[in-house]
This record gives sequence, C-alpha cells and structure tokens, in this order.
Amino acid sequence: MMGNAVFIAAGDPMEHVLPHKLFDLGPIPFTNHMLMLLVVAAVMLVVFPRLARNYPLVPSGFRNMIEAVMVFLRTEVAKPALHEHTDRFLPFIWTLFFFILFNNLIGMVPLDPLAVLVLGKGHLAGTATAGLSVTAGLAVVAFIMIHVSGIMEQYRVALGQDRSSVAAAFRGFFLYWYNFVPHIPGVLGVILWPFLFVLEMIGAAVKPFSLAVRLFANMMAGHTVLASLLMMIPAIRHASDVGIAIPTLLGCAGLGCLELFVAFLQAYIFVFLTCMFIGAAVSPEH
Amino acid sequence: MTMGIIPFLATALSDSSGLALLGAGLGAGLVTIGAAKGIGQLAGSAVESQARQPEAGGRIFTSMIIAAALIEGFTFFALIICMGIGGQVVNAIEIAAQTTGH
Repeated sequence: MMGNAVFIAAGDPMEHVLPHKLFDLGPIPFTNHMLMLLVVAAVMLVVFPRLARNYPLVPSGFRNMIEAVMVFLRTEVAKPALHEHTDRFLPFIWTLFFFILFNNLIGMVPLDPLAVLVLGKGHLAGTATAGLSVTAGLAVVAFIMIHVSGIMEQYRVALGQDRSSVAAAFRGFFLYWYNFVPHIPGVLGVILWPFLFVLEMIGAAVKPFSLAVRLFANMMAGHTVLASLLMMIPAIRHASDVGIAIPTLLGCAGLGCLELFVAFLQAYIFVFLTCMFIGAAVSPEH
Repeated sequence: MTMGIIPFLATALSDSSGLALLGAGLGAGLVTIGAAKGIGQLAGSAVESQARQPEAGGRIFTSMIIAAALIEGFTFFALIICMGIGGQVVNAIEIAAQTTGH
C-alpha cells in the first residue's frame, strides 16, 4: 500500500515495518511476521507452563510479576465487564493480552541486526503486530469470540427454559440477533427496528475493524517515526557525522521509551475493548 | 483576471496528482489538529478533576488513558488513509514518468 515512496536520499523508513517474504510454503508466502508469530508462540508455550508448575503459596521474581499482571486483568478489566462469566473467558483474555504484548515487545528488541550479524540474512525479524494482516487476524478471533459466546449464552438460556436442544439452538440464534437492538415499546419500536438493526450490524463490523487498525497503526507509526528520525544521520552526512548522531540517538532512545509504553497500552486497550464487547454480547441481552 | 483563472483550474483538475498530494497533506494536518484538541481537552479535564478530588486520582487516570487511546485509534486510521493516498500518487507519478520516458 505504501509502495515505493522514496524518502530523503538514504533509504526507506517503511522497509523494516513491511513484511518480507522469506520463502514459499506452496501457494502462501512465508513472511517474517509469520516467523515472529511462531517465535512468540513458542516462547509463550515454553515459559508459561514452567511458570505455573509447582506454584508456591507466595510467588517471587518473574512469577510474581506475571501474577500481578494477571490479577490486574482479572479484577480491573474482566470482572467489571463480564461479572459472573469472568472465569469462562479469563484464559482467552490472558492469552490474548500476553500474545499481543510479547509481539509488541519483541519488535523493540533489535533481533534483526543480531540476525544479520549471526546468520548473514537480513529482514528475518520485525514487529508482527505492525502488519495489518496479523492484527486483522486477532480482530477476527475477537469477533468470533464475541458473537459465538453471545449465541451460546442465548442457547444456554433457551435450554434452561426446558426446550429440546435443537429448538433451543434455533431460538438462541434468533434471539441473539433480535436482542441486538434495545427494546422500544409500542409501534415506534416496530418501525425503528430495521434501521437500528442495520446500524448495529454496521457497528458489529466496525468495532473489530477499529481494534485491528488501532493496534496496527500504533505499532507501525512508532517504528516508522523511529526509522525516519534515524535517517537524519545519513541525510546530513556531508555536513556533520557525530554532531547530528548524538542528539538523534538520544531522541530515538526517548521515543523508544514512549514506544514501550505504547506497546503495553495498546495490548491493554485491545483486551479491554474485547472484554467490553464480550460482556455486552453475553450479559444484558437477556 | 477572474476569467483567466479558469484555464488554470482546468489544467489543475485534469492533472490531479498535485491536488491529490495536497489533499493528503492537508488531511493529515487537519486530523492532527482535531486529535490534539480533543486529547488536550481530555487531559485538562482529567487534571482538573484530579485536583478537585485527589482520592479518585487512579480511576481518573485510567479513564483518561483509555479515552486517549480510543481517540488516537481513529486518528491513526485517518493518518494511514493519508499515507496511502500519498503512496498511490507517488506510484502513479513514477509509472507516468516511466511511460513517458523521463
């Protein structure tokens, strides 16, 4: 989408944000974003079971930090939105948060220059969540979670009303979409229902889309700004070398701290909004 | 003078890549103005309410951060649209330059 927009004279700041094809898996190109997703998944699959094994009464060290984050997510994010359904969705919420967080943070670690030094091959690493495909995939997962859990909740309520499971499935499915629109009594409600339903449908499509674009844009913009700032050094190379490099690098260090904050914040916002949408789908619709 | 501006407008509108870039640039600037005004007002209200009731400081801070992240969400969305327009126009200019053999 950004194409070949050539910036000053020293290369492309978009180059290390866009996905690069590593090899072809049949018809599908395997990009470095996919490699980073696999690396983060492997890290999580190794780290978290080891953390949870032989859990002491009072944790310490890394366990304590992870437990503090998880307890924060349960009491401040999941419980106010989900009330009694919190424990059902907590594994998903925790996994989503740590997956997005680790993907954001692994983009701040300079794995790419390390890979060039060790393996001699560039563009192996990057920020996976700085690609719209990855965040769109996460938003699709959130979308499925929201609507499937809403339909399952209506199914459960219909089962509790002593209906057969097939009738409960149909009734639950129909009631979920019918309860999208808040009830307005009288003739006005009947007239307004189609318009409000179309509005709610558009909202249901736009909410996960905004989740995806928000995460993608925040991650990509951070790295692009850092790269553009660093390009000041080669751009003024004929005037001064060290003189421009020191303030630029100090500025980049400061921006890096801001980006660490944004990494945590965007993971939190994604998870917080997903919790709110799941809560809205599961609780007051019945 | 007012009649002489019409051929200029005609050529400007027929070769619209300059106007497209201008639109993208102006769009990005306007988006930044709107977002900065909104988040600035949000921060002002949050700080003032924290001064009125320091005990609610933590909750107010959390709400402020969440609202700022939501506002920045659609700001970045508009910025990406502007970047996309710029990239498309530069691509079109390069393709046009290649076909005319510059």
